[in-house]
Amino acid sequence: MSLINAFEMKIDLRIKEDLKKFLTEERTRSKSTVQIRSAHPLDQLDINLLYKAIPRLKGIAYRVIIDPSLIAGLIVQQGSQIIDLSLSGQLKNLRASIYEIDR
Amino acid sequence: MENLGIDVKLLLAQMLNFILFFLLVKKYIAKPFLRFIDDEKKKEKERSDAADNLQRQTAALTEEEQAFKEKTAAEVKKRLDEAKKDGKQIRADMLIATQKEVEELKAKAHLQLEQERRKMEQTMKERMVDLSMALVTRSLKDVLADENIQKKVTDKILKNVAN
Repeated sequence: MSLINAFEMKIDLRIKEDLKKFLTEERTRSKSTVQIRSAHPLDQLDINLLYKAIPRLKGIAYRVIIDPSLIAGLIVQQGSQIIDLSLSGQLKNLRASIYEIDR
Repeated sequence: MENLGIDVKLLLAQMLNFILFFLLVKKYIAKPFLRFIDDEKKKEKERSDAADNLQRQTAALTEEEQAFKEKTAAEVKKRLDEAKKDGKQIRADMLIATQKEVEELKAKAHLQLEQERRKMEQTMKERMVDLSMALVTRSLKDVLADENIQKKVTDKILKNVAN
């Protein structure tokens, strides 16, 4: 008996199918909705600028969450993909870059 | 003879007596005595030979003892020299090993110090960076407290991405 087989879990087929279905639906749902975290409320001009910056977001429903910790800018999340355009993100990148110097 | 007052018979008897006495003395006294003398001489010679032999043996033993003493002394001296030489070699080896160990310890301590110095520098640097970033963040938050300014910055970022 191989090691993998020894540790292989036996999952009920019905549960397995349900889980697969749930994950597929969740993936589709999260892809069909864009979550935008912003430091301030967004108006149509901001949304237009966002579409101009990331054209593939056009036509996809979005949800805005106000997050003052971003300082300025916004973070776009579609499914597992995240695009960080916030000032706090820039500061984090700067901090990481400084840490990397002289290592 | 008679006129000379010598009695021939008596003379003859005395001569006979003398011859008999001579023969008897020769046979029973002189011979054993001479044999005794010879024996004594022989014994004396044997004793003398034995004494000489003993003396020779004593001399030989003395010489042998002297030679043994000299040989022993030479052996002792040789062993002592070897021991001294070995001792010097061991001392030199120990000195070299100790020096090597000291050098290794010094190098290790130096390396450890260097590592600790670097670690301290890194920690200080990280703290400085954290502090600087905290100051910058705080300043930015203060400066960008107004929503309009935040909006301008956001628009600027989006325009930069679009371009």
